[in-house]
Amino acid sequence: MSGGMPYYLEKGPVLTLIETYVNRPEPGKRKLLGALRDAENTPDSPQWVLDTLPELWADHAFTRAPNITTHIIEHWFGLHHEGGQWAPPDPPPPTTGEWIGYKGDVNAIVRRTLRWALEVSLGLMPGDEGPGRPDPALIELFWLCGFNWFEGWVVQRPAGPGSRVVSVIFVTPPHRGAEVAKSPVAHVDGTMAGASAHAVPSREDDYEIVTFPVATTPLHPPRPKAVDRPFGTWVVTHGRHVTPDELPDNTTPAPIGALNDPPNLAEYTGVDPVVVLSPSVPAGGVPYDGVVKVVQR
Amino acid sequence: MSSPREPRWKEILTERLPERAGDIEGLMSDAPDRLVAELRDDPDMTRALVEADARHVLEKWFSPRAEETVVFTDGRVGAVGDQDAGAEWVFAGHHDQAEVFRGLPATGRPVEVHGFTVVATGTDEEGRPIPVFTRHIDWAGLYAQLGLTINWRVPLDPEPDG
Repeated sequence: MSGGMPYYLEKGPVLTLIETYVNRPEPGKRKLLGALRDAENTPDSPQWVLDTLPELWADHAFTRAPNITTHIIEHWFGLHHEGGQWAPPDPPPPTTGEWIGYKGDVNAIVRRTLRWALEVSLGLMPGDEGPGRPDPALIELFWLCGFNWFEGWVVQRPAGPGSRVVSVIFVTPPHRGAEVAKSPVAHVDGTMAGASAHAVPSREDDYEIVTFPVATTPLHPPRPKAVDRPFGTWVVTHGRHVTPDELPDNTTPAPIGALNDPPNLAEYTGVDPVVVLSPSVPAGGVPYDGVVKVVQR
Repeated sequence: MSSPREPRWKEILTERLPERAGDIEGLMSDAPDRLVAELRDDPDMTRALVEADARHVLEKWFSPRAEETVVFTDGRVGAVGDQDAGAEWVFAGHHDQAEVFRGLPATGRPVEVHGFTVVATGTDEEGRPIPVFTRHIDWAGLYAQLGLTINWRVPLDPEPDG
C-alpha cells in the first residue's frame, strides 16, 4: 500500500495515517462507525473509501501519492471506474485486483473489518445505536502479505486500567510484483533506490537497529532511545537468509524404485547473527513519533 | 522362518508380467543394454517396468485409487531418441496416509500424479551397468491438488551497500 513492501509485515505511512485519523476525536469513532454501517446498504460500492474520511486523503502527506484511493479500489478491491461509477470488470477476471491466486469480495472484508474494529473499540454490538464508550479503545493497523486468501483480524486486549487496544491485521495474498527482502538489514539509503525496481530495506526515516550491548553513538536525527520510542515495529530475525548453493535436480536418473524425494521448492537457512530493527517508514515501518511526513508511490 | 518380502517393484512387475518377470530381472542385472533395447520394441514390458518403478515409491505416500492405478497415454510408450525407452503415465491415488508425504497430515483427497519416465542405461555407484530411471513428474500439479501454494513473493538478495 506504500511505495513497496520489502518485509512480511507492514504498517508504513498509509496505515499510520489511517489509524491517526481513525483515532482522532474528530470526526470521532462513533461517526465513522455510522458511515461504515450506512455503507453496507450499498454493499458493492467502494464509495465509503472516498467519503468516510475525506480529510484523511486531503492530508498534505499524500501530495506525492494523489491516486492512493484509486489504488485501493482498483488494486485491492478489483473494481474499475466506468461510466462514472465503480464496478466489477466485465467479463470478470479470474482474480481480484492485483492479488495473485485469489478471488473474493475484498471491499466487503475491509469494510466489515473496520466496522467491527470500531464497534469493538466503542463497545457496541451490531445494531446497537447507542453512543458507545466515552473512551473508545485505540485502534492500530497492520498488514501481513503472502497468504492464500484475504482476511481481516480484529484483536482486542486490555491496555491498562479501563483501557483497551484494538489491533486490526489485514492478512492478504501476495500481489503482482511482490517481493520480500532476504535480509531485514538496510544497505541503501532509499527504499526504491536499489539497482532493481523493487522495494528494499532502506536507511530512510526512523530506520533503527538495536545493538546488544547498546551502542553509545547518538541517533541521527536525534530521537528517543529505542525503548522510549512511542512507535516502533521491531523485527527480530537472522541478518540474512540464503538458499542452497545448488538446487536439487528433481529428475536425477536413479535405479528402479529409488524415486527422488518430492521437492520442497524453496528452502531457506537463516545466517548471520540475529538482529533487532525497526524498518524505515517508506519500507513499511512506523515514524517513531507517529507523524507521517510524506507518502510516496 | 518366513522369507523377507520382495521389494514392491518386484511384486508389481510379477503382477503385470508373471511369466516374464524373472527374465526381465535377469536382464536388469546382467544385460541392461539389451533390456533397454528390448523395451524400445516392447510396449508391454516398458509399461510394466515403468509402472513398477513409479508405484514402488508413490504407494508409500498415496493409497492406490483405481483398479488400474497407473494409466499410460496411448501412443506415448516406446522408443525415446536413439537409445532409450519411455512412457507417459498417470498414477491415481488417495492422500490418506499421515505425515509420510513431506510431513503433511492426511487430507483424504484423491490425487493424480502425472509423469513421464525415461529408461536408459547407466551405472551404479561401483560403475557397473544398470538400467536407470529418469522421472519427469508434475510436482506443482500434485501440490495444487493438496491445496498447497507457492508463496508468490520473490525473495531478493540484499542490495550492495550504497
